[in-house]
Amino acid sequence: MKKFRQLQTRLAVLLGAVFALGLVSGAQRAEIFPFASWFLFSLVPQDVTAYELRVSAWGDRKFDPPRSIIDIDGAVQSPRSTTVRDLIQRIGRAHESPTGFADRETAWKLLEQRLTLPPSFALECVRLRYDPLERWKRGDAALEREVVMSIRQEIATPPPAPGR
Amino acid sequence: MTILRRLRRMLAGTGSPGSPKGSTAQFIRTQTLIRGFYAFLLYLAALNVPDFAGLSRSRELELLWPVAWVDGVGQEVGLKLILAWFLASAVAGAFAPASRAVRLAVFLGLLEFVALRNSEGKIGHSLHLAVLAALALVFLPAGWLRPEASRVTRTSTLVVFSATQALLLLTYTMSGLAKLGGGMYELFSGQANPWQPDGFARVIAERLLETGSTSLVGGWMIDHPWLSGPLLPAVIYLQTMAFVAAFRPALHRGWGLSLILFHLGNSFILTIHFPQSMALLALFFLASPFAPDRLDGRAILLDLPLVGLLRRIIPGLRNVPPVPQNFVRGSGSAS
Repeated sequence: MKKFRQLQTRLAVLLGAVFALGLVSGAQRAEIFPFASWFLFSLVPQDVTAYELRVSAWGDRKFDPPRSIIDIDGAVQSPRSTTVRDLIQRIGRAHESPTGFADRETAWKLLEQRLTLPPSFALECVRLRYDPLERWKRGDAALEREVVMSIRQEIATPPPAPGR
Repeated sequence: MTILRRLRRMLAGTGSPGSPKGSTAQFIRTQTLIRGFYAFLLYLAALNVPDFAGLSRSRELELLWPVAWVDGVGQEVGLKLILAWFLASAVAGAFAPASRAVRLAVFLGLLEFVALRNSEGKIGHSLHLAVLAALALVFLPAGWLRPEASRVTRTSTLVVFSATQALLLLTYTMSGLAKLGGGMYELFSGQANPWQPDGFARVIAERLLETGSTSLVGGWMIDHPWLSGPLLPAVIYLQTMAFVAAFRPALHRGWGLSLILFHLGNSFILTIHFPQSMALLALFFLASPFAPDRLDGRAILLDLPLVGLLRRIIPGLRNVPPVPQNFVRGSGSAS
């Protein structure tokens, strides 16, 4: 009987820990794996602030006006994945935070390995503000945009090998 | 333990038993379902084998705490070790789940694998339920798989299974409570909220816009808020009350089915796919050993969370007799 009581206590502690750590995960805005935060989809989106990486040059291809990186064929592996989306948001938020330099670098490195980077490219991180329903109905016309960062890599084309 | 007993009694419905009684049929079903869970984990491991080559490749990672040790031994060795451990323990778990050491190894293997998968910059939640269930089942008593197990072992096995069910539904309740709290805050601060007709349409629009994806019925739902509008409050009720449903066997099948439909809806509307959670809900709730064999609409209705409260408040409902105890005590012969 003592063992049975101990078992009940352990299971109750497990339930209590999952409950409490899920709450802490949400409060810290940093999930204590594997205790999922309570606050997933907990709010109805109002005026949304989000970030987007817009490309104006990708190798030989030029885009005027610039296009979202996830809409460029072959630029991103799994472009519709939430990981890509979250990393872009992290880059934008970290760039705008006075203490976010290290986090921005980490997020960029994580994103970079999902990109098929050409030798030269030009992109900018844009802060978007919008009402989701308005944007859904009116498209980009419902967006307020502000460029917060530009990333440009230009590598000179190597000279042709001798004898060619 | 008195507090726990009181809490359990409070959560149990009109006709639901307070604790698992341990009939032979329930015990045999529970044994089979637990074996089924470990077979499911093997299936999960096998399903991921094609990704092993990519996952074992050295790369930029943001290692979660269970796999932080990989930095110490180097990715070349560490990543291969995690994948080998995950696969080997899943095979061992399907073969010999009677051993606690094996079940612990399965839990740790799964924890390591899921942590590795989520070390690429974002934590996804499709495998969290499997990790938590594997952790809870480590507590199964010695000899739980023996046909001639003692009464204490049988009862302990049923209690662990029951606690695993409660744990799975607790995660939905946590999410529901946050939606309820967030929604009340939005309502009283004059913002768009889940109870207004276009509340869910806003959630769908934002989700599809942020990922740039298209879903089968998401756009149509946004254009028809009279249909999508009631879904969000219904989901809040379903999720918030899920933990209570764990203590009411008459609701097990209905709640399991509703949550599976919720996940299916998320796939079709929001492009959020949780097939693993759907499989676990089917295993633990559609096939619940505690659920009555025969579906009785009245029993289910009276056991619905908040309906009991309404019966106490509304005078006309007070005289509805409770569901007979022997109906919901479940199926099977007494041991």
